[in-house]
Amino acid sequence: MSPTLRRIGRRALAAVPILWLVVTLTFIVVHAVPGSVADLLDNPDLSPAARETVRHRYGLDQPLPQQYMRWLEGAITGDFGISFLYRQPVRRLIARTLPPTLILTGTALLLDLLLGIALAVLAAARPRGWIDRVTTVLSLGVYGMPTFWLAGLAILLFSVQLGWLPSSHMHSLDAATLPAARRLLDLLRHLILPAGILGLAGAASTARYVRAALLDIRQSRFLLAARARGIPRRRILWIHALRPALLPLVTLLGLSLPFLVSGSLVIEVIFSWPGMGRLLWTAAWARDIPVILAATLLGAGAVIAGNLLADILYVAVDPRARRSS
Amino acid sequence: MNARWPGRLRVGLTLLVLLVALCGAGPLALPRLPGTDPAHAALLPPGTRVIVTTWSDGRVLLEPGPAAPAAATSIEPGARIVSTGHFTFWLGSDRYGRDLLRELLEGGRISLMIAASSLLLALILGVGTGIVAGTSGRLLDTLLMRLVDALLAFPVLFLMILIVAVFRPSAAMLVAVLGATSWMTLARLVRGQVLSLRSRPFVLASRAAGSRWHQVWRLHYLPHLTGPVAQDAALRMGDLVLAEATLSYLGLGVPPSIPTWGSLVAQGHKVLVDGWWLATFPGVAIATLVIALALIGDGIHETVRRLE
Repeated sequence: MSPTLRRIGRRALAAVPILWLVVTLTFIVVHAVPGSVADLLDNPDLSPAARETVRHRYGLDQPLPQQYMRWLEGAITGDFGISFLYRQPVRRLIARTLPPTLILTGTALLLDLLLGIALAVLAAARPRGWIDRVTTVLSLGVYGMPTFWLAGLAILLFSVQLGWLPSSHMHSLDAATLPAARRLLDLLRHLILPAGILGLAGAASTARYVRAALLDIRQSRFLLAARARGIPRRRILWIHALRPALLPLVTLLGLSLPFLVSGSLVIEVIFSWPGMGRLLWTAAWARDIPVILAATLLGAGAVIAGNLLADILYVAVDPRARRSS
Repeated sequence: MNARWPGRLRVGLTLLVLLVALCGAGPLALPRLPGTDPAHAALLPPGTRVIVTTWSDGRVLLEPGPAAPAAATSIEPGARIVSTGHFTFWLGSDRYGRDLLRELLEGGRISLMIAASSLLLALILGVGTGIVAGTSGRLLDTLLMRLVDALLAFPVLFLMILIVAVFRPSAAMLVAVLGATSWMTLARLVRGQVLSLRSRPFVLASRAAGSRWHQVWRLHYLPHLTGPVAQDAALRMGDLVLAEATLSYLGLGVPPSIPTWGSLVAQGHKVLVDGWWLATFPGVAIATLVIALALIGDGIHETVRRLE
């Protein structure tokens, strides 16, 4: 086995105990603390017999160790039980709400990277020039603004005042009757505001990050050598400097995997986007524990997988990382 | 202030002190509007000046404009004017005729207190765990760091929602949740610093010269920990302000009867079309605070870098 593969395998193995801890910690929060989930189901209006049935249905009448084993088993097989609120298997609810979330966050991530990198290169071309200053101030501003507030302003401007874009949902009411091309257009129109705001918020930090990496690399000798060879400045910036500056970004890409799953909760709530974030939000209101647990575990799984992916990508892209292992 | 302080630090600190002073003392200094009839004062735009007339039967009426109070014809017989005065809604009023400026300052005090208390909790947990992990044996160190890894794996907002949904939210609960979910990177930072300081020449020299452990800590460890911890704390506080605002906005923070900046934005969004100012000003306040904290964090980083 090659050292690279062995290294990746080692990292993957190290993720197993962390996953186990994550699953166990959620169990502790929900079950082992007195006054939690069991009391939640105890509706005082029910007769003792009916209450017993409910407790039995959710397996709460069993001793804790047994509940824990069932919980572990469910987490491994992806069976999170039945939603209190929707009376449906949680797995089906997640399967229905995950695709809209991925559409939204995927678009936002794309926008984030494209806009962030472009701004960073323009800013780094002339440090302390006007583009740099405007980008710095803007990215600081966007960092400080809560996304829900930004979303409200955008709705006020583009939906209420100008009437250009829809302010909520993923499709128009009549979308089902439209031909495929018009349906796609309809989806895109609904996507612009939520994905735009999410992408903009991400682009602010991406731009800061890539700009710092670019300015770091400007000092290096291979760029001096490239300039000595008479390569045009613009080519040096976009090709010679940007490539190594994007190395940390590859790691960042792996680390943004969790964003795809969990990054859009607030935006989904504001724009009534039928995604997982909104599902989790309604579940939190109704204290629909199985749904909340499934979403949390899925989010945590994405973080762990993202870390692993970042490691793998880094080794795959950077020849130095391969040699040192 | 010392001229060697970076400009960012000075701007950030000035903004922070200003906000804290405004929210701390502002509600006391503001003129109080006596209990009014919301029908006359609801959704007034910023800068609206009204005439307040108090009547002998206890009613308080608000009328727009600088003109004299309206004729007493609309008032029940027997009642007379006790006093008249002016009141200006600098930031407008909400659906219930409440002064947004007062709500904003009172909400800010609560938002600031929640963020500061949860930061304190995170600092205690993070620095404590970091020092224990950095100085203890390998087994405890490994266990603590695996716990940190596992906790860091949760998307913070999801974890907060999970805890808030299981337990009933209250202000104290919120502080506990926010603090308990934001100490992990601090612990990593402190542990790393302690481990790297342990083998630095000046620490070894001090130990070889016979310094007691508390002398080594006071003279070498703590000064080197202060800068990075302070920088992280400033940024962390900004994150906590945003997290509290987000949870309150989602209705999962403190009970709705207590105003915070996040819940003010949420209420403003309910009347977005008729009262743009209601969501706008609390958002500006949040952004100002978070940006001030980011500037402070940057400034501390710069100062520490210059000192070294």
